Amino acid sequence: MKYHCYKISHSTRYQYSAIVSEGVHLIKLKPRTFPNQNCLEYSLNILPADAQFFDFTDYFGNSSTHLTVSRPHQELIVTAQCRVAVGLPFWPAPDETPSWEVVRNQIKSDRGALTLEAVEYVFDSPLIQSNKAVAKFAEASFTPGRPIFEAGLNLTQRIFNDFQFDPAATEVATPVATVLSQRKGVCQDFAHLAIACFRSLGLPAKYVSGYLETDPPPGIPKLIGVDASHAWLAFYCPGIGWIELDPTNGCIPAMRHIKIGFGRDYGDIAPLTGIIKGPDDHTLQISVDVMADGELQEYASNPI
Amino acid sequence: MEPITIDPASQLLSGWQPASKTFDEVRDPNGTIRHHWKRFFDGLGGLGKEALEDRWNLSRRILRNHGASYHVTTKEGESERPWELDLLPFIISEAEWQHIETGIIQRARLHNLILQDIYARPQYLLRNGDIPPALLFANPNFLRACRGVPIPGNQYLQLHAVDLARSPDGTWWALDDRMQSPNGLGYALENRSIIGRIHRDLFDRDKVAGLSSFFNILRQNFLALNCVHDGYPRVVFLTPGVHSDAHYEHTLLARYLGFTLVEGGDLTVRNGDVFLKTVEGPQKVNVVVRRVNDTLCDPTELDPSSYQGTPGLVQATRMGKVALANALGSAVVETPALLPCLTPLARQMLGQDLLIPNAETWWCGDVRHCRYVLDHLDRLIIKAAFPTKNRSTFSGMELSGKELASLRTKIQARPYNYVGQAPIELSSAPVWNGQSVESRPIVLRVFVAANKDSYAVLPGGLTKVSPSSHTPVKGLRLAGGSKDTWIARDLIPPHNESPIILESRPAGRMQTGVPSRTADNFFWLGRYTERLEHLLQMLRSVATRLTEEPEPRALLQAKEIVAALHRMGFPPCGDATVESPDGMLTALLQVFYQPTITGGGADLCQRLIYIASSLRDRFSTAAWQVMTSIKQYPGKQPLRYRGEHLLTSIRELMTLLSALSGIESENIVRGHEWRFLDFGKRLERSQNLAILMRQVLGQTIDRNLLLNPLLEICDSSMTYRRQHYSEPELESVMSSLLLDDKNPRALKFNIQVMMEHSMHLSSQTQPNGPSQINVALKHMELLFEPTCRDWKSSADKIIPVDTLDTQLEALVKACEETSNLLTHHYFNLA
Repeated sequence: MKYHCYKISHSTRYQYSAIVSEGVHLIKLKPRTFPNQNCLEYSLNILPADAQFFDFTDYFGNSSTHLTVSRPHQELIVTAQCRVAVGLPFWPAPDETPSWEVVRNQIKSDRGALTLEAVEYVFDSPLIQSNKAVAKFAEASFTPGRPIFEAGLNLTQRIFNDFQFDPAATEVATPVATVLSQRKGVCQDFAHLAIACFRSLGLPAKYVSGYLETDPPPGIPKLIGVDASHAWLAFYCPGIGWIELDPTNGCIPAMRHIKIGFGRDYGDIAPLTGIIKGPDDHTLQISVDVMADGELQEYASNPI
Repeated sequence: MEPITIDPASQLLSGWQPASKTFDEVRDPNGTIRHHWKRFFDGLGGLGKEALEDRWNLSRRILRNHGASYHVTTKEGESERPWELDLLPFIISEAEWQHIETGIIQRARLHNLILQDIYARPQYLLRNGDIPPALLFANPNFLRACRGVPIPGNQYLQLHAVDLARSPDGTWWALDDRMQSPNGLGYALENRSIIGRIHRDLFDRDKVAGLSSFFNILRQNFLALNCVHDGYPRVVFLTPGVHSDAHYEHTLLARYLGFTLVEGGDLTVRNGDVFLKTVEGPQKVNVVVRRVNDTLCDPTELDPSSYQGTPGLVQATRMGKVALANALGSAVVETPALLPCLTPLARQMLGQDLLIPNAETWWCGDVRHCRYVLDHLDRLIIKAAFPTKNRSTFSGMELSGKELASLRTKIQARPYNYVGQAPIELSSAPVWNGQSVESRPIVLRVFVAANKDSYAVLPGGLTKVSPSSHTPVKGLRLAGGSKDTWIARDLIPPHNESPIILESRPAGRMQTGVPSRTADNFFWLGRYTERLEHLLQMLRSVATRLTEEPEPRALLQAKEIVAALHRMGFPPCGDATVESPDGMLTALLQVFYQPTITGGGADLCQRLIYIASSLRDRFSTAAWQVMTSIKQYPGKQPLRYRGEHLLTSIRELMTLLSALSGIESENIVRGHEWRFLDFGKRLERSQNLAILMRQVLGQTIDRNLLLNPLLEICDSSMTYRRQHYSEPELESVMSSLLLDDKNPRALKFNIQVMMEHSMHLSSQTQPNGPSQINVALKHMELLFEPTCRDWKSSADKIIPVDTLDTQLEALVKACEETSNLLTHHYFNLA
């Protein structure tokens, strides 16, 4: 199996309008290791340099860092650097996957370990609340008896075609219903909407956070969402596992998508969150750089 | 020959009739008074009606004096309700209590095992289908962040409350469980402290189980939660704050258990350790007894919109540095949706049947249950399965066809969010209504605490009484009425119990360290009381001049003080109408009564009460009683006899303030709390005096015009007269108010006291910061000396008005600066 290697640098800089006496943050920036992905190197740099941090694995299995800055500061810089090898994921022929109704019924009754892990992603989550309009939108793709992957691809294409990428249109907490009615948003909104569509039909779907390759090889167009962290989704297909979809680019994520981790929605895997004791105002600069860094036939012997 | 008498109990109960088809708590089906009630009613009946009325009035008076209250939020907003306590206790026989006790312990044990499975094990219950996935995954109280967090002794529930109801056949049923913040324990304590005292004679005779050993167990258990190698563990009691519904109980419990009452903002997490911010610096916290709901405890890892918690608290528990009681995540089982699963779970996990059955409950997350609920919607009580902010409950019996249809749609859209419960016709207990005994439905809340490897049940509880004679369909709220609960002892000899006295702190070491917020509040309590007093003095000086026989010079003075009030920032005093005496009075009334006027009478009273509420755990009953009285002011704006009403209210309020300051000076230990309080008072007084003196100096036509009012406002007329035997003169008034170090109203005196406070604080707290405060105060003290010396030694002895004015202005600034420095050094500790 061939792997594309990437060098990723993700830097977040908060400049506060006044002194912050203390800050507590949660960082989720370390790419996880999956069957088709391996994080080869990872380092985290934080300013102020005397910040205290502790690593732990969250409920969803994502690598997390708890960060505390307990002295007055007016600037916080978090820089994550890593090297990741990405291989081609396996996916089945769309028309050979089970119909979405079969999946729904299995989720309702089966208590096998794998299904149980998927069941969690059927329910509303803090940032994804589906409603009738969402269900109606979903039904256009999920026609009776349609194989689930085929229906999912169709949904992905519809969002890609009918929705406008517009960073000014939404905020972190914009409800899915608003995204649907205004037909505008960013990758996070499109992922949330698609997830809401799956869930409205009783199908498990989860939120994936990650990166896209910044500069594609000559002749291949840049993908949308390269300057920041990216988001897409994965739905559950019995017998296969999780299959990813990228509604922002209307494609199936492959070797140009690097996954950080997943959760029920953005809130579970936000790259950097926190609570500060200080002013409300701040400026935020984020820079993400994802550079191709050669190829590997196998990954390095010691995955971290 | 003996006269024929009816026995006193029957006489008292002669008019009493329980609601039909309900269980009669007092009489058995044959009409005989049950054994455990008989003794009580015999004693009570023997007292005679007058004594009963006496006791009733006395209990209400004590309750009022304690200021016991409960916050309720209604559509109209939030209000504080006085706590209602019935004169008659609810009495349970010992045999019956033993059944309840074992049943509740079983329940606590079962819930703890379920919590262990959910948070610490591979979730066998879920895997085996014993609990449906939606019960966890659709449950907002399933805290994913808390899975795998270490729990001391694997005991999630240190305290667990259960609501019990008795159906007509005499069976006790469990209605609901409370795990995340089991309210009511403090109110049970309050009830016992009052009823135990009032019925002392009957209480002893009845051999009623005492409560104090339960609280000792509770305290020991909290202390043992976190092993500390270097000394005594520090336990804090975390409250959401003064707006919390049961804040009164939090202050009461914290004080009774001897733990520091804190809010989320008082704590900070560093290196995984939790610290309490105190004026002596950060102090490590080992155990947090919390009344903040699970999801609100840490905005970084739980609900990010919460202001009640402490960022990093989850991480601290994850690292095992602090123990929370109850453990974070406990609320996942605080759902009626779990009730249908409990019966099979008890068999499976304990090998036992549930000793106290659950009220029949159907959770719509189960398809068959959902069908049943939808088919019987008009006969069931519908509850939210996962209540978050408010516990919305509908009674199918009371809904119209249209409302039922809308409820049906809601249930169908998200079935797992709803449960249906069969209503239980509550049992009837006797209540004293002031004249006679009448019947009311009751629900009993019982409490069980972890006790090393076992459990202890509070031998008593909180009996909630319905405000009306029929069963309330929506259940009984804490804000309704309540009863003390007695377990009548027949078999077991009484333990070594001490009576519940809420005034005293229990034995055991008290915890030191004044939280920064508390110090801050004491400082502002001092400032606001002084500010209010100053305002009252000013209003009074005008009002007396207006209500007495109008005399031209007095009117002129009144007008000038009103103008001064306007310059101090009271808009009504700048109206064109203030030219007339009547217009002036209108302006004064507005300043005193209108809550919208910042710094006015109503506003200051409100601020005072608010700050005092958050300091309640540190107030004596006497001080709180004064505060309760201040709460009545300013009251409604009078329409007639306006001047007289105003003056009377001002006088009354001033009497209350003097009472408060008497308590402050004689009944508070000279610790940090008192120092900050007094510092605030002195600072405010200095600043107000300087501002007022500038107004006097600003009188260009007749500088002597405002001297008398100035002395009145500064409460120094007598002092002055005693020293000078003459009408006030500018020079002597100024120099005595500036430089007298014997008069507590004079500037120098106040500055010197502040210096003393500052020295004390800096020697005992953080060493480096407060020197700046000392410097600022020294500067203040020396400000006037040279000027006054010069003017007194000058030939004409004429006061250098401009210089003095500049210096007073500088003093006002220096006061603000000092306040900022205090805030920075003591109250804003990160």
